[in-house]
Amino acid sequence: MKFGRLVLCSGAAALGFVLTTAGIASASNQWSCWHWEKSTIGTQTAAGGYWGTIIGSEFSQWESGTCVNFSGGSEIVGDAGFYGATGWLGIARILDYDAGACAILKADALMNQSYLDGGSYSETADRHVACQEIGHTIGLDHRKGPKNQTCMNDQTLGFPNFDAHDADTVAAITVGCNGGGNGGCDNGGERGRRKCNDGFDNDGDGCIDGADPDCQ
Amino acid sequence: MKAITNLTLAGLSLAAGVAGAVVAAPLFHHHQEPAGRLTAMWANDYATLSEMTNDADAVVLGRVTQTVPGRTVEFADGRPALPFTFVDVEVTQVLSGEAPAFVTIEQTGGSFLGKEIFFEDDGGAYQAGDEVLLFLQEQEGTGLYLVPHPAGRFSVESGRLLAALPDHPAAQALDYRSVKLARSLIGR
Repeated sequence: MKFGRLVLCSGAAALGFVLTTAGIASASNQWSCWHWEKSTIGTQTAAGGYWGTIIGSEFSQWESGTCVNFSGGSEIVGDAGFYGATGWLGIARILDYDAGACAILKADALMNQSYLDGGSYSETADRHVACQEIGHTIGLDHRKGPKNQTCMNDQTLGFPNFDAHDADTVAAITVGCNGGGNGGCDNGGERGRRKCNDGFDNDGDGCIDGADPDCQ
Repeated sequence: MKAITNLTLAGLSLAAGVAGAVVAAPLFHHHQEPAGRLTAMWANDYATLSEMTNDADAVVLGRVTQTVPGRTVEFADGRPALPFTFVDVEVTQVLSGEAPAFVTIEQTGGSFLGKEIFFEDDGGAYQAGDEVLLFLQEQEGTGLYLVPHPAGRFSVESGRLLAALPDHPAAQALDYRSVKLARSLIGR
C-alpha cells in the first residue's frame, strides 16, 4: 500500500512538473534569444520585379500586423537570387549583432530563385518563404505541426501570413514595442503574480520582477 | 477515507511538481546564448528515416579530409551575398545507393565579411578528421554533392551516431545508435 502511494505521489509530482515546464517552454517562438533593441527598423527590398513585389508586400504585412515599424534603411535587406541547388528555399541570417545583449543589428532574408522560380512552387509558397525569412530577421523561430497555420511553420508552404502568436512574440521580445522610452524595461511579457515574483527576466528586457514596469 | 487521503496526497504532490517547475524555470531561461545566425526553409523535409533514405542518391560513412572556401554568390550590384564551402569526404562505406570513393559536398556558409557564418541546425562547419554519416544528393551537372536536409548529417563518435538535428523525426531513428545498427536499418 505504501508503495502504491509512493507511485501515486511521484506520478502526480512528475505530471505537475512536466505540464508546467511545457507551458513555460512553449510560450514564444523566439529564435534563440535574438531580438531588436528598437521597434523602428530600416528595411530595404533589394530585389526588383516579381520578387520585389513579394518581398515588399511581406515587409508591409509584418509592419501592419505587429508593433514594429519599418523605415527606409538597410538594417534588414530582403533579396532574391539564384543560389543553385543548395537544399534551401530561403534563408535568414544575422550579419551583425551585439552578442552580449543578443540583439540583432543587421540581418537579411534571401530567397532562392533556383528552386522557387521553377514550376513546382506557387505564389502562395513564394509568399510563405518570404514571410518566414523576414519573420526570422525580427527574431522569430520556426513553428511546427499542422495546427500552426503560419508562415513560420517550416513543414508546409501553404500559409503566406503569420498569426497572432507570432505577433505576440514580436511584441514580447522587441524593445520599445510596448510603452518605450523607459530604458527598454518594458517588453510586455513580465506580467502576473508568478512572473513578477519568480526572480528572473521573463520577457528578456533586462528588468526582473518589480523592477520591470510590467509588474508595477 | 483511504481514497480521500490518497487524493489529498496526489494533489499535494501535483502542487509540489508545479512549484518545482516554477523554481526550476530560471534554468530554462537563463542559459540564453546566441545560438545561431543562419536559418533556412528547406526544400525537402522527411517524416521518416526511410523517406530520407529513399530520397538520397547515397548514404555514406566517411571521413572529412579537408574544407576549402567555395564560390561566393553576389548580389545584383556585385557585392558578395553568400559564401559556400567545399567539404571533401573520403567515403569508407556506402550504406545505400552509389557514391565514388571521394565526394565533395557543397555546404552553404563560410567566411563572410570577416565572420564565419553557418546554419545553426546543420551541425555547423565541418572539420578535417570528422567521421560522418551523410545522406547525400548529387547536384545536377556539377559533380558536387549536398546534404539536402540537416536531418541527414551525423557525426560518428566511438562507434555511435550523433545527429546534427536530434529532434527531427527522420534523424531520431539513428541518433545515438551504433553504426552497426545504422547499416542494418539503411541497407547494406
